[in-house]
Amino acid sequence: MEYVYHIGVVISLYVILSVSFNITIGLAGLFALAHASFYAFGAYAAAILSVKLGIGFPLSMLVGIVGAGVVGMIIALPALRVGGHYLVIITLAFQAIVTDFLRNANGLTGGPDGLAGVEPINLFGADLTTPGDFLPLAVFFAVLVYLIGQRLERSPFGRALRAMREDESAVQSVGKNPVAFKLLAFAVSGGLAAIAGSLFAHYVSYVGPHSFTVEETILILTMVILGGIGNLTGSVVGAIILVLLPEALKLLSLPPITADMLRGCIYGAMLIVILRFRPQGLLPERHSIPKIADSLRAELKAVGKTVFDIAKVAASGPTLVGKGLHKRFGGIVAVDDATITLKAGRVTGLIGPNGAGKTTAFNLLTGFISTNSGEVTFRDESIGGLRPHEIVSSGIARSFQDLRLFRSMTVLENVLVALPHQAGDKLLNVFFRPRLVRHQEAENLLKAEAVLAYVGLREKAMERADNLSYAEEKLLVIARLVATGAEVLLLDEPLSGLDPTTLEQILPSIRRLAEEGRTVCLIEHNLDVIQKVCDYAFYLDEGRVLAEGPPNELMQDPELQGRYFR
Amino acid sequence: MELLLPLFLNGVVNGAHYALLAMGFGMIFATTGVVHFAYGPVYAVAAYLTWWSVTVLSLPFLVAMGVGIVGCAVVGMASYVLLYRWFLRNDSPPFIILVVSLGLLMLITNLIGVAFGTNAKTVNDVTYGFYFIGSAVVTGVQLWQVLALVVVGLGLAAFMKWTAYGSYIRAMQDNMLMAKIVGINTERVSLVVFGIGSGISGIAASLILVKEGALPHMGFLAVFYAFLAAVVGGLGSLPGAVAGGLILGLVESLGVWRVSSDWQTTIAFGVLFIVLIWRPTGLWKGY
Amino acid sequence: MINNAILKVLDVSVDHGNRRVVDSISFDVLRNKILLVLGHNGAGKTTLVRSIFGLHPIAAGEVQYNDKPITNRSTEENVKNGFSFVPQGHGVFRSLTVEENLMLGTTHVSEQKKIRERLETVRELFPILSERRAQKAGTMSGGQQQMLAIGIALMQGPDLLVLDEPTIGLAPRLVNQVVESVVKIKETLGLSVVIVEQNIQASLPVADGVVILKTGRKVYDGAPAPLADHNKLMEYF
Repeated sequence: MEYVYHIGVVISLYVILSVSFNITIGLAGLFALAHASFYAFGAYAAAILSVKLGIGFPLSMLVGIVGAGVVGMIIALPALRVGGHYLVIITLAFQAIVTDFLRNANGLTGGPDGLAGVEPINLFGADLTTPGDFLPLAVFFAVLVYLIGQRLERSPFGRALRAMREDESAVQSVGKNPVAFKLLAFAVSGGLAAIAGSLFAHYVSYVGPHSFTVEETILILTMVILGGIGNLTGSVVGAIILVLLPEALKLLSLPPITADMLRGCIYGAMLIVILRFRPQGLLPERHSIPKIADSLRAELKAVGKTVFDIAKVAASGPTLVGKGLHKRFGGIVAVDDATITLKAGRVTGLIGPNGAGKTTAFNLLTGFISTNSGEVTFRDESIGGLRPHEIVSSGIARSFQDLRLFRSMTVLENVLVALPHQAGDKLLNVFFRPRLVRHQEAENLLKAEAVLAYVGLREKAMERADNLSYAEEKLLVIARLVATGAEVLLLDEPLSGLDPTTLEQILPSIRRLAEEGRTVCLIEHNLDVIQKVCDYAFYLDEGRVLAEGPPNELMQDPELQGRYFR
Repeated sequence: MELLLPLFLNGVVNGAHYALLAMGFGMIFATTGVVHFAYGPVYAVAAYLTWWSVTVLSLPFLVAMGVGIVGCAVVGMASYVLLYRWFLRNDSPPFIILVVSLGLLMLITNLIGVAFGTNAKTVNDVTYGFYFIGSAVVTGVQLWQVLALVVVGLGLAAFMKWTAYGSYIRAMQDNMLMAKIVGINTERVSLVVFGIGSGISGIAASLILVKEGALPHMGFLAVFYAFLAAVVGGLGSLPGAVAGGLILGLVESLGVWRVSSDWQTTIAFGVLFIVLIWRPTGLWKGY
Repeated sequence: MINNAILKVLDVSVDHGNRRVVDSISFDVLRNKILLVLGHNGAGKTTLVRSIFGLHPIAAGEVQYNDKPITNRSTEENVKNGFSFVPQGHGVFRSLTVEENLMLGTTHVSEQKKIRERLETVRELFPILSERRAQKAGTMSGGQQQMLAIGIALMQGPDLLVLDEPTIGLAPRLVNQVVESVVKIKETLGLSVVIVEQNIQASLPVADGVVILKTGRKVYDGAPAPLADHNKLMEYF
């Protein structure tokens, strides 16, 4: 029976490890391969405190959690600068350094022999020495970590993490700072993994460097991938399967080393087979929004809130002004002394032939690139020096030509992410002010639905964004912009690639944005569309503003016509 | 100062080994886009095949070495045909291919262990001399390791420069889409690249077999060093791989000058960790 | 009657994910003529020609080359059979020398004599490529890179040459130069040419036929002459 309890404890430890790993790899999409070093930190913190200083549980665990959280932030530093393969090799190097350190710092870690004699956990006056005694505590922490992970996943914070995974600059464009999210994701993931380490040290009363190698990281990775990347319940299932499966090998009564090797073969083969035939894992990532949405709506109904209106913007006159903008790329002048004034309540078009500098002018106006000379002001204040997400918060939002939707998230979530001032974006609020977060989430749900109704996508709220038609995707881009609450909206080719019928459906939405007091600016090539939707236009060519005025007047100018069709 | 010369020589020798590994790894990555973690265990396969040919088949060492290199090339090509090609054809995201490769690493490493056991395999009847350079001793195998880098490096450079396949490979490293547009059969070239890259690691493997013996887990550290050296030098650049390997070997070796040799790898990884954070795309510009 | 079309595009449709970006388009490319494909950004021009050449799957319809179906055939087969493509935006190997770039056009040519002849032709057309033969392609100007890209295609010895926006990003003087060289190629080598363009002024006078796309559909297929009138053009843009 003790054997069964022991398996239970091992499963609990791996549940903690795989769930916490899934937070960085699955939710945040940060491919760092150093998870075993957090595990090691927790284990060694407990062992060293216990063996050297006589400090036991729970203080030993707390030290491990905080320390591993800090280590997590250190690993996050390269992740802020590089991605992809470089993050993989840098984190692997980090993992190697950790393993090496454990093996060599004899005085502190006991070197290759490790540290023996870690005191067992004493709870309510009893030492938890047998697997049977230990199991309840292990299960308790596994459940706790799962619940923490789940709360995080379902919070606005988790939503923003997943959005960041899909598209980082799109997350910036709705006013969020990816740096803070990355740092916290790593810190939480590391801190939670340290819990498993601490339990492990007290449970087997021994720690050694061989338990925390890269192979261990790969093993945990296999659990995450088998269960399903981005699905925390999947990680639980993955951990259970991959702990139990090799146990079956024991029935064959092989020598232990051969059994170990066969276990490695199974893990390796498993990774390949899953990714070949079911890359989403046993339990694919889910979207729990519908269920939550229903219960939130019920709460709102109880307090009498059921509708939410999209606010009109009370503004007039010039809002965003670019004066004497100048931008060089190498030796090429892309924008040359251009002055562009956007006014509230009207749709302004930037037109001109290809390569005229429209997109560069657009990026200058939205602060995505900086000017060489000239200044962009918003309500007479310079926006120079503000970072992209700060510019969005100040009231200027942009869209991208290539849409950059959060494609594997629902339509509703795409809009929810973009809503400003969310208490649940802060991790402390998620865990310590849950009522505030929940209440605001309920209101935001109404807001998001109102925004979707505004553009005519209410019916599609629960669809994944990648199931939308192209026209619907374009509408969702507009919805996401509206959701930011910005009063100046700049749209990069919002209408390109649409057939005439769909165009007629979308044009009114854009007109309405301006009619309600917003400042709208767009780039468009289609001449009849420009004449239909724009009140005013700037004609750019060779980086200069050649003319401005009502678009149909501009397009009747033979010289401008000639340039357009050159 | 007296310690410095042997340390320096040792660094160059180990660096040559890493450079050889980095060349093959970097070539595969730059041409096909695959982060081929299984490069490590495939390299181990060469060591074991060589060992088996020498001890079981009693072949002369040079012939056994050939068996190891060819066998290793075949396994490398098989991993492309049987595994990576499907994912590449289906436009799988890079990280999926990377994890697949980790899976293959686990699979082959442990299969070797099951087949050959975990004790070190050594070949004893290969004799080599000792030479004195100043106060330092260099073994014949160490000279072979440096020579292998020179020969393979020059050979590969000539191959890339003068042969049709060499130009296809450079074309693919430069611009995959254009390579398809001018009608290069990119899958066939990829196959060749897996063969050559793995074969190069096979040369390194058979020399390390003589020097240190073979262990099932030898592949992981090998691919790790190859990856590091290739990234430090600039992924896909041939001179970069050589420079990256030598830097890695020297940093690791000279680090010991003032600190206990236990800290050798820690120092090397620590320095590289900082280099990579400072300059993630490597010192030389790759393709 | 002798069929005079080297390439027939029959009701071809192409999808990007769940979106149809080219919607059942048909046209013929006549032998020894220049066909101009026009349309604004996002009209589907590039996707269309890339799919015809085998770089992107065709969802429906058929492509015939010399009266034989070549729908979704590999680029390698197309090049072998005399169908070459010059992609948008300097289709060259930047880290390779000019000479090496040109030689990569001869992947499927084994006769040294042919290679020498073609090299001669290309150097006559673009003397600059001869002067710069040892220079890395990436260090040349945009116009020179475009000439090199066309040169690579000519080394393949094509009967049909498709150029995707060959003048994009070039200064007006170079635009005319590139267009003139394409006309010269057509006339001296007897090629059939498809030019995808946004710059109309330079290419319209040399075209024998024009196809205009708008949001994935064909809105014009006919002679270039009527389009010289800007007001007429505006109907299709």
